[in-house]
Amino acid sequence: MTIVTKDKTHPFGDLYANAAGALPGANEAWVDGLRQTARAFLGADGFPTRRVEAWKYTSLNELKKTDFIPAGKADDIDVTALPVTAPVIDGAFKIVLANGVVRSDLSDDLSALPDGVSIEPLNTVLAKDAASLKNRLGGLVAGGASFIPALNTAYMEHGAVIRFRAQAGSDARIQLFSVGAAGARAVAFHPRLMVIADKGAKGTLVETHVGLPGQPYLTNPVSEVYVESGAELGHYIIVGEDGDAAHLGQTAVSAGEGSAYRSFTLSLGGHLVRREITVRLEDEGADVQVDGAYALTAAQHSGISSEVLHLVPDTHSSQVIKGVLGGKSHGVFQGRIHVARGAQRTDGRQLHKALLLNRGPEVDSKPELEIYADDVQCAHGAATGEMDHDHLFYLMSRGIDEHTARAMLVEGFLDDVIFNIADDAVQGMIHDMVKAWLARQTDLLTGASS
Amino acid sequence: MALVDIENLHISVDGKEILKGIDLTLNGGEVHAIMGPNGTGKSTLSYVLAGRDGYEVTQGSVKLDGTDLLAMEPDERARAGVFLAFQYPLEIPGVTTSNFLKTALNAKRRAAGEDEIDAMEFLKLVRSKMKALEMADDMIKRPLNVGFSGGEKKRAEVLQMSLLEPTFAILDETDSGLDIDALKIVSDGVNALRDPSRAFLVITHYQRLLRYIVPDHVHVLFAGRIVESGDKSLADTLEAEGYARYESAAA
Repeated sequence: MTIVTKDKTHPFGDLYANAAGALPGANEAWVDGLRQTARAFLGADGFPTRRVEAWKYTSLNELKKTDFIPAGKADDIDVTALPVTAPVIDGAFKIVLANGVVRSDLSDDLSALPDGVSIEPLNTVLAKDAASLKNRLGGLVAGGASFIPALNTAYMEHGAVIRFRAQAGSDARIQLFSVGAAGARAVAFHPRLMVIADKGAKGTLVETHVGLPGQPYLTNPVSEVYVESGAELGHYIIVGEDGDAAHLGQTAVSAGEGSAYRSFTLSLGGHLVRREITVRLEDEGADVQVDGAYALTAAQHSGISSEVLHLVPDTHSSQVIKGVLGGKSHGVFQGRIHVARGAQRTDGRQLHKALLLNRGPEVDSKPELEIYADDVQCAHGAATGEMDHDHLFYLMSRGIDEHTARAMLVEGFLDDVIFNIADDAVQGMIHDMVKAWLARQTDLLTGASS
Repeated sequence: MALVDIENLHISVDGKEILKGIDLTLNGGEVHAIMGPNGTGKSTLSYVLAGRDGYEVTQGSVKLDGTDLLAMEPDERARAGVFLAFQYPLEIPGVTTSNFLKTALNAKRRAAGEDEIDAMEFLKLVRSKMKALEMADDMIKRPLNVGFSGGEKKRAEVLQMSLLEPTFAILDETDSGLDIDALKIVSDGVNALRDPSRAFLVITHYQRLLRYIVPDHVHVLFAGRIVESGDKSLADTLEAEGYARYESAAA
């Protein structure tokens, strides 16, 4: 194995160079191996350029020029509370990570955890009981072959292990806040989440990514999510990063027999956001929903890259992603549905729709179907357009002024997918966030295109 | 003064003249029917009155209560009392019917200097109107017109009309897509709104609707012009004889 200790193209290589041996779990060969493989990949490839197909529409040039230090090396950052704007779900157990590190002082008391749920800081588990994560940690993400999980895996230290056991019921609701904050210098952090829903367990996890204003930060969260047979997991990801922040995240999911995985990603905040999601439908009857919405303005960039892998017969997936873009923002959707040989009676659906509020934004949409079975029902589609003038006329013909009518249509465009969220509290929270976003966008709704 | 005064209205679309000088006067309390074959300018007239984009007024004027309607935006016209019941009501995903109705009603109330309606009062009002139109209660929770049948959409249009209480209502082919029972319910809904302060312009292809909404005046629109006007018996004549005689006259 090549161990790169110093490389000009290595993201943050200099600063992290000698840290590997001190990271928790370094004494476990397999943990160390994961990190070394990831470091080797980063050392060889550095930041991906747009010549790499998967990064064709997302430029990291600006990020590359930012002088990040590891958040753990900054000694001038003091997160004392959640940002006041962070939306809170009533009744959910709250756990807070500041720059990736679990902050028990800001979290709910562990004794208040719902029945059947356990949460432990990742560094604690890695230091004391790394073996309990063997075959799971690194089991779903390509830490040695893909930039986002490699960057996370190379430096993985903090984060959380969240487990929903069989006795976990519908009240097993966790809201995890990841707060980013920089001091005098820009910082980077790499939270790793392990989420396990045991056989037959029920649970809900809401990841809320927010930040404090100041110097830019880069958050690089990666989650590996195991939904065992018969388990039902709701997993909602809110990207509400601070204005100058970058968020490069990946969620990798394994869905077992008869399991249900319901997810929704809302991307509203941050300067540069890329969310990757990989879902493996590994056993019969697995049923997944991977919806999402984004709303962008100014020079924001937000991309969703999705890979849904139907590996066995009789599995079902559906995905609707809707985006609203103003300013000179840039939205990207790359979606692939893969149906493996023999995965008969697969039902896989995918749709991406983007609404442009003016002539400034750019949308790149790349849906792909790869089917190696003959008895399947798969459909995909993508559409990008301006606001429908007939819709606008219809609302205005009822006395609704143009600004209000436009706002209603934009809200309705996103609500169309938000209404698919079966969890009422989450649906309400996401709806309210979109409404609040819209209320701030008065300049976008004046109809610059007409 | 007439409630609605359309004078020498000429309309072009992409340089092609569609309406070639329409004169119509509607007084409060009157129902006027416009009949004619397809492609003769009936829907153009309804869209121009409601203020849709894409129609060029080359000559003429339209006044509502003495005010120049053509200078107003569609929403201003609506708040001034114009209502178009669409031939093809639009489906708008994500916008619930109740939110839409409430927003429209409050826009109208604010324009009239009234307070916004409170949520309970609104529900009560809508439910009573829906009951009269034999509409299911859960309809208002659904996205506007999405998945509604043809008949449900037309009922929803009449529901909107009865909530907004326009002074000048235009019904564009409201009978299309309705079976006879629905036609009767919708017509009853319209008739209930007949009032000395209100005028109706009923655009229709067939005489059928006019058996239920009995007009005071019937006009034949043919090739962009009103070629004949009469009382309700003209509708019966047209039903029996068709529009062929206007074709030979035009030729």
